[in-house]
Amino acid sequence: MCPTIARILPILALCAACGSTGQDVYPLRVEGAGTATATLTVPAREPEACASPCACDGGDWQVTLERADVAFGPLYLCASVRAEPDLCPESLAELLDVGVIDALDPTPALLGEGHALTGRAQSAMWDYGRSWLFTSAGVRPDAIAPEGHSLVLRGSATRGATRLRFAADVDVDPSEAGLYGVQSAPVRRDLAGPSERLLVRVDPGAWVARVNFDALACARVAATDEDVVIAPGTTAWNALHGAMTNARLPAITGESSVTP
Amino acid sequence: MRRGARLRLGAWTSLTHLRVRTNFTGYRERSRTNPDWVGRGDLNEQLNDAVSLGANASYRLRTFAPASWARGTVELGAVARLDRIEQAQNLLQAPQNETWDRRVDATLQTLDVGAFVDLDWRFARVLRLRGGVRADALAYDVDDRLGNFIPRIRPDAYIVGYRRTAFGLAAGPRVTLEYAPVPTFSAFASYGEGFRSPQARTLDEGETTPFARVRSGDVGVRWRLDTRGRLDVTAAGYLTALSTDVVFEPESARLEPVGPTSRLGAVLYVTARPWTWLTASGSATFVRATLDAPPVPTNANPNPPYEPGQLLPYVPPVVLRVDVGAKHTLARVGGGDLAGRVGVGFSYLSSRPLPFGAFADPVALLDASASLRWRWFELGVEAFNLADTRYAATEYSFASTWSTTETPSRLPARHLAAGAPLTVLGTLGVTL
Repeated sequence: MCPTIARILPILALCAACGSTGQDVYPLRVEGAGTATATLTVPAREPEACASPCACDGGDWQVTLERADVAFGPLYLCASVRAEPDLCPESLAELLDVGVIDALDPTPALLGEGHALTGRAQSAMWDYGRSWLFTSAGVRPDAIAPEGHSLVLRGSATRGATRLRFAADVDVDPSEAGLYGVQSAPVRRDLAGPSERLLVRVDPGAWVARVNFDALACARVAATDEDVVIAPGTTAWNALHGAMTNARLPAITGESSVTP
Repeated sequence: MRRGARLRLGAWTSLTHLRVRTNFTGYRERSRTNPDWVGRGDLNEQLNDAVSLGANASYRLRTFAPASWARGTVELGAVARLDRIEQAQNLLQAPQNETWDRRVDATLQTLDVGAFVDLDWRFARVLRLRGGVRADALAYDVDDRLGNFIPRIRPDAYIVGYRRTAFGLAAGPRVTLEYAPVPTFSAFASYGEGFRSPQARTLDEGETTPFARVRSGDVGVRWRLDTRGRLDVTAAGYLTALSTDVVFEPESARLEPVGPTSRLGAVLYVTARPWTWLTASGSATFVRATLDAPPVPTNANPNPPYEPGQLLPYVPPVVLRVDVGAKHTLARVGGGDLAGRVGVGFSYLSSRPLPFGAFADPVALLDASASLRWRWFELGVEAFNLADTRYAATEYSFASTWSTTETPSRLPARHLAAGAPLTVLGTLGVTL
């Protein structure tokens, strides 16, 4: 072989191997946590918000949460501004498992091991333990979801002599097959590499604060009843559902903190 | 016609039919026609029926020699091509192939009229200059029967369809300079500009057709190292830049724009004939194909990741091919020569970059053939993939969902189509 060519060939071969697309799939640890606030004050609603024949006495409700278990997952982080299946054919990061967050415990606990690519996530979509796959006939709760629900909430609310023991089982279901319980949640997070850790923090107090306890008290059959079930379709249930899916979304943070 | 001049006229027509059914992604599609229809399998059917008519004419003037050291010709020409294409893309549900969504239903009519002028001149017997300019006018008439699609959530305010026309002009020069100071050595350099016409359905009404500009240059040498022709070497380097390139997008099963790209490469081609009965040839292509700007932002990815020097997917940086063949008379049988021929070929594709940072495995394949020839008869055997290597004929990186019961992953993953295993073919040929 010509000596010149012999010298050039290795250089060309090296050049051919240059460059990098800079992306590798790496494991992503996803943790969940709640807040330390098991008791909170829910301000009384304005008098005009009180349902007849009840009357508001103007006092605040002291709410104590005894149980707040939240099923969370699967979770997808997307590069698109809006996380919808059509706009996010490929995710940047995902957690396919479902985990249960004890929302009254502020200590992060493992939800599951996911995977991620490097890039900037701008939105997220997820289910609260109840998914509707393209290929299934309807919504299916994950086996790990607490009693099959997205949220199991137990607690009491007290105002003066009035005491309510409330219970709510909230199901956040996708509206159609292939969609997710929460779509297009804004997130801004740069996924940088294998040391990544994602934290999902839910605040059940913020959800409960949207419940109209005055109306809940008025809806009792007898004024002396303490136990109140927040049933699907009621105003209080819709308030919790709306808080979980829109108004008070969990914060998805990591080493470089980001809050929706 | 003047003596020494040449007139060429030609006409052609073609009829092509293509129907392809592929499912790259499993169960990820939702019907646009009826969004309640989901999970029926992403079996994409693509149809392309085309009728084409073409004509060309060229007139080369007789050789002109203004000086004893300069002589050459000028050629003028024109080409025209008319296509009428029916395109359709549907989602089918196997096994009955029921249509559960219509994605494309269009008729395209395209007209390309071009004109060119070419020069071919020699100076002092050692320098040859070839070059010219070509200009094309392209007109498009698109009847997109599913254009202005009305999703079910919107009330009908018009009848679905989008008929439009577009027109564009493209012109580019090309020139090649070849220098051959001695019969055994020549050096050449060339530069050219061309265009890639757009997918007609991407054009809007009255849009000036956005051609993808291609600029390409190369330099090289041809060297006969042995005066008896026993060893020839050709080496060339090239640089090609495209203003807008395309890559295959499995989600839509078609090519999608990716942005400007360039390819910097080199080719080495060697042929050797050390004995009259033995021939060997080898070629090596090295290329560094890169994306020269961030990929085209889309709704799905408004900030696509990009690093300077990012490799273009699917382009193998190294391609090698080596062939060795031997041919010899073995004996004289029945008044005729019994000739034998054997050959082996080796192909190598280096690891190819894939989207989302993945890389395909390299591919190395060995082929062999042998034959015996006597009088009019030839009996041969060819073996492809002699080592029965398991390899990927094509490899992509994208997200897919094949399980109907598990939570689907949306992360891109490597997908491959298996290459052919060891294949042996026997042939019996008769030469009359």
